[in-house]
Amino acid sequence: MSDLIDDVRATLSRHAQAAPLAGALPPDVRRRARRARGRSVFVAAAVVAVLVSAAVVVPARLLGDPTAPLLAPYPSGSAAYGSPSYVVADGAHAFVVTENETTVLKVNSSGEIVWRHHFDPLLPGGAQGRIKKVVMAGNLVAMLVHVPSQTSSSSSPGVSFSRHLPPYAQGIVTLDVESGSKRGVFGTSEPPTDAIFDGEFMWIVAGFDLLRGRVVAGPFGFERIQGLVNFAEVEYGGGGVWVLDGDMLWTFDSTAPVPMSNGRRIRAGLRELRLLSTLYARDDAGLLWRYHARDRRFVRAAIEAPVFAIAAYDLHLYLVERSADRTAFRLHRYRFFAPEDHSEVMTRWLPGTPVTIAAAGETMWVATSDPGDLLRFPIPPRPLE
Amino acid sequence: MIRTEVADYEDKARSRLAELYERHAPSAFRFAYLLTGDSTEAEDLVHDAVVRIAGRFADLRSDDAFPSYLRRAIVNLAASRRRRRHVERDWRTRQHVPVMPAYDPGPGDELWAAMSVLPERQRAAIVLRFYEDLSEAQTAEILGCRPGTVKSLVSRGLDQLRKQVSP
Repeated sequence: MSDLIDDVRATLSRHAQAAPLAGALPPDVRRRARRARGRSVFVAAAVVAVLVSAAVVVPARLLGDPTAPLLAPYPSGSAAYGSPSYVVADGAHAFVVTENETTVLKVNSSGEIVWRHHFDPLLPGGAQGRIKKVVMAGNLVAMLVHVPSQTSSSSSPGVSFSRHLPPYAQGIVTLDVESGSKRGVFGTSEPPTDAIFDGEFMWIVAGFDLLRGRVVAGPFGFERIQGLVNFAEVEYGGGGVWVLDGDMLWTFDSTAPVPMSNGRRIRAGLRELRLLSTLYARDDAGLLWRYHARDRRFVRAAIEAPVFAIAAYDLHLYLVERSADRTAFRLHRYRFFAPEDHSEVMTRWLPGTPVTIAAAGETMWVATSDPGDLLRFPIPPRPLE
Repeated sequence: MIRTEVADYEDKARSRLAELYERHAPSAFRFAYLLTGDSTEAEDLVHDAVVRIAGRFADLRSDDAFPSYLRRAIVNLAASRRRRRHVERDWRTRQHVPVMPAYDPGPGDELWAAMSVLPERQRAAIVLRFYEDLSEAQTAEILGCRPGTVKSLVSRGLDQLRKQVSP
């Protein structure tokens, strides 16, 4: 018996010390990755077919450069991965989050999986979580998780029960980009809708609250900075934090110990806020607006494309235009030399409905909901300046 | 109103919890890994356990009680996760939803493989007794049972391991 106990002790100790670093790739993932590479030829053929069909429905004059690189598809729609729903990037790698399986993949520019983290979709409190947005927050990937219902009810003869789910049933799960290990889980009383990292604090819009907190390993708390009147967007840049709150634009000095807000009324209907050399916003009608600092108001940017989504990366603004039948979209890339002086350096039609786009190095990633692929293609080199 | 897992506590209590977490998370992770054999699940368990403890931080008698409190939460959460996984797997099977393949630990030694199929309370008792080097009374406190039950769980677990690894 004592020999067995000694063996048990030795085995437990050995495995405890050799416990794989969180986020390390387990063997089954490597096998799947190999299978995925094998499938890529088939998937490539499928995507080419979709491209051709998209080209048929899109007027030829709208097509971009015919010599443009073809899409390099990432295998998706399989039982192993589900449909990629969101993609973010840290400059070198893309982080793909599959909503259905709450799996996060770190993918290099060749499309190879670096690590995978599968976390429980049930947040503390027992509520079924659904990822609604993914953002990069410094060296963290932050997944904003909602629960579809706040209460659960049951009944027995003559009596009915209603149970309020705990307030931490929705919130944010953060993963370290290097290791894939989980850095923190915290809950918010309202569904989180946007988040940014200013280098020191994480700023979160959760319902009608603007929250701020330090991102440290383990549990961490957030303080309420300000109440909001609309579901808002938050951006960081130029030493400040910008919050688009309906027709109000708030600025916060992120370096101040107690951030003081400075609000101004802007035009209604603006939705997405992106910071490049200045602030850009998209409105409900798909028009692009640029913030005029001197007049403290938004003015129309001289870009005609109806804009479905916008992204800012490496001094370029990426605009997504959707085709009328929503089966394809066109990606424009603008280089802004000055707020009023811009040039289009890339335009390309791609199949599917984009959900999120992200640039990593010289690679652009687009997660689409239809056909549910993650698309990858090289960004054209910068023009000579 | 902000509600976080530590929201209702003073800054002092929050930093105390963070400090305890920093100190005990690595060993708690190893413990959770030995219970589950899956590093990702172990991480989830530790975080969820800390979240659970944060809600009842005032009940903590002293900092010395934190490790056993944490381990008790991990054991309970591991049990509820396993039950829920069975329910989810049944539901997925009924709905013909593809099931993610179970984590494959790969080739390893026989004893480790045998431990992975032990009933969860037997495995927890063995890990607590022979890895954590806890007494029967301490193990019983974490598992929420009597010391005699711990003795029985360990004995049955060892019997099963012997049968599994014996030629």
